[in-house]
Amino acid sequence: MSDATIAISEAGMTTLLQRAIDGPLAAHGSGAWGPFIADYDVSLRISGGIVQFPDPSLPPGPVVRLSEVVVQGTVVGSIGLDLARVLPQLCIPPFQVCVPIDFWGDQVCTPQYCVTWPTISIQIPVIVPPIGVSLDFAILPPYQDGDVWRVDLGAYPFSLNFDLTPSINAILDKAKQVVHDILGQIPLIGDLIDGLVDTVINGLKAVINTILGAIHDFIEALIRLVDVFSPTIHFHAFKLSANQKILPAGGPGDREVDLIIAALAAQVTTDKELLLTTDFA
Amino acid sequence: MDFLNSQQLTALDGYFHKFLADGDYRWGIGAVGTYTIHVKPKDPVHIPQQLTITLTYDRSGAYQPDQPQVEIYQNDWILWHAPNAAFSVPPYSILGSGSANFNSRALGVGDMFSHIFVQNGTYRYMVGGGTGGPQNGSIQVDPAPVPPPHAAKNVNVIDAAPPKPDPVQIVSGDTIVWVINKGSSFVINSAQ
Amino acid sequence: MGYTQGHSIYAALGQTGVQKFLHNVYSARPHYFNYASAGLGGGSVDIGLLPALPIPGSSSGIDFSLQFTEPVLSFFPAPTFPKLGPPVKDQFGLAITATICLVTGMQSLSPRVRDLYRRSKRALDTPTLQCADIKVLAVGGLTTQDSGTDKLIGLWAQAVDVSGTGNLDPLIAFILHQALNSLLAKLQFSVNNIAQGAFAIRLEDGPNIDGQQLEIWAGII
Repeated sequence: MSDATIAISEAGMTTLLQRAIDGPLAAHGSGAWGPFIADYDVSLRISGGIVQFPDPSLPPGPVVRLSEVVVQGTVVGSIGLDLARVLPQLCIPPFQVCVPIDFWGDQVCTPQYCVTWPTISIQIPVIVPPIGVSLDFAILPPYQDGDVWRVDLGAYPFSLNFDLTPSINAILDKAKQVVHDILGQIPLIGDLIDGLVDTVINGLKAVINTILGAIHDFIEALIRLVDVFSPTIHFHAFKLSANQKILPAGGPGDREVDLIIAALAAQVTTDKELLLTTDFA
Repeated sequence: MDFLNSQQLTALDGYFHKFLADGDYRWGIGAVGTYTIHVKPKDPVHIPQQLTITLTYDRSGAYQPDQPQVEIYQNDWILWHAPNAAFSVPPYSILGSGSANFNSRALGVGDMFSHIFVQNGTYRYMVGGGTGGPQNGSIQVDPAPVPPPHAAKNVNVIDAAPPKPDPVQIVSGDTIVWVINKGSSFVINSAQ
Repeated sequence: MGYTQGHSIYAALGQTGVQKFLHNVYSARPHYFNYASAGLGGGSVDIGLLPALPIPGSSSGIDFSLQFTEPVLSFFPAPTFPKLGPPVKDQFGLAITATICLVTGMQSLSPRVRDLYRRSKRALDTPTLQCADIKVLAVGGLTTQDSGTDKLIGLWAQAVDVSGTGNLDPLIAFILHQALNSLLAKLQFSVNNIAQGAFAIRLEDGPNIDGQQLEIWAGII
C-alpha cells in the first residue's frame, strides 16, 4: 500500500486542463511573395476541451486524451500589390501608328499612351474557422525537480488539419472589387477591365494559397507553443512539494513536522482515473 | 472629356518639330536646357524620318528624356512624348534654341501637336494665335468598336482660317495631329 | 467510478503514511510525549512540566515523569482489541505505552562514605526511580474543524482500555484518555495537506476511514 494516494477523475482533469489553455494567443507576421506584400495580425482563442482516460489496456495504451478543444480567431491582414508587376504593359495604340503627312514625310508616327498601373492595397480579414483539436498525452514518469516533484504530460506528435480555403473566395471577391474599381479609374480601360481583372486575380489565386499556407503553418506553430499542445514542451500537469509541511514550526520545542516525498508514480487506471501514488521517506 | 491644351502636354499628347536648318540645338523641358540635338546637313541618300524622344517623370519631380543627346539629319523631325506619365503629374512643354528656336507653347510651321482622344464626346476647341484671331474647330469622339481601329487623322492649322478638315469624327483611342501649315504662335486648347 | 465516486478528486493518506507522520512528530516535538515534574527535568524545551505529586498531609511532593511511546496506529479494517472490539468503519485503533516513574527516594550510601564526601559540595544524591509501564489501547474516530477556508482533520480517542494496573485500571484509563486526546488534538492537519499541494481543493465528502486509508473526496477550487 502507498503512503498516500490522489485520484483525479476525467471531470477533475478537464477542469485543470481547460484552465491551462484558456486564453488568447496573438501574434504578428509579414512577408513578401512575388509582387505581393502581406501583413497579418493573428488573434486566436483556445477554449473548451474534454479529458478522457481511455482504457489503458487497449491501444494506444495509457494516455490522457484531450478532445473537443476549439481554436478559432481572425487574421486581419492586408495585401499590397503592385499591379505593374502583374499586368502587361498596356499602350494605346498598342504600337505606334504611322501616317504620311504632306511636307513632313511618309511615316509620321504618332505617340502612344501607356497605362501606369497603380499599387493597390487590399484589407482582408481571414476568419480562422473553429478548429477542433483532439490530442493524446503520455504521462511521463514523475521526477524530482529541485524542491518539487513534477507530473508532466507530453503530447504525441500531431498535425492540425484546418482549412482556410473558404476564406480564399472572400479574399478574391474583395480583391476583384478593389482591382475593378482602381482599373476603372484609368481612362480607356473600360472594355478591357474584365480581362485585366481576371489576369490579376489568377495571379492572385496562387499567391493567396501560398499566403494562406503560411498563415496556416504560422497558426499551427503558435498553437504548439502552448505548453499543453506542444510535443517538445512538457506540460506541467501537477507539482507536489517534495517537502510536505504538515505542522509549521511553533515556539521552541515545536519544530516543523514534515513528510518528505521519496517516490511518486502516476498512471491511468481502467476506472478512468489518473492515479498518483506517493511514498514518504 | 480629355484635358486638351497644347501648352500643357500630358501623357496623351505629342509635340513634333521638323528641323529645317542644320546645326546644333539645345533644348529643355519648361526652359531651354542642356539636352542637345546635332542636325547634320541633308544627305540625298537619307529619307527624312522621325526620331522619338520618350520622357519619363521621375520621383525627383522632373521629366527625363531617354536620349539627352541625339544626332539627326536636316529635315528629320523629332516627336516628344511622355507615354507613362500619370495624370497626376504636372504637364510639360518643350523649348529649344539653335539655328532656329522652337517652343511647344507657341506652335509654328515645322511644329505639330497631337492628342490621343480617350473620353467620348464632342470636343469644341480653339486655335489661338496667328494673325486672324481665334479659330474654332470640333472633334466628335465616338465610342470605339472592339477591336478599336487605332487611326490617326490630320487637321491642318492655317493662319486666319478655320482648321481643316472640320468637323472631324473619330473614335475613342484615335489620334488627331494638328499640322501647322501657315502662321506662328498657335495654341490649341479646348473651348469648354 | 473507481476512487473518485463522481467527485473531481479523491485523496487519501494510508495507514503507513500517517504512521510516518506520527513518527516525525515524535522526533520533532518530544514535549508532546514526555512530561515530568521540575525535579526530573520538566519545563525544558523537550519535556512538558507537571507539578510534583502532593503527599497528603505533608508539604513535600513526589517528583514523577510520564512518557509515551510512539503511538502505533491502525486504520479500519484493523485487528480487534480485547474489551474494545475492532475498529469499525471510520474508526482507527491506537496502541501506546505510558511509562510513569516516581522518585521514591535517594540512593543509600554507607555513613563512612558519606563522611568522606561531607567536605565536598558536589551533589551526590541520585534519585531512585520506580517505574511502571501501562499498555494503553484506544479506538477512535475523526474530527473536522473549520479553519478559515480550510478544514482541519484530527484524531479523537473514543474509548480507552488500560491493562496492568489492577483495580486502578478504570481510573488510570480515565486519566490517560484525557491525556491521549490532548496529545491527539495537537496533531491536526489540513485537508489541503492530503492533496499534497497539487491543487487547491474544497472538501465534498469524508473524511472517512476505510481500507486502512484516511479518505476524502473534493472538488477543485
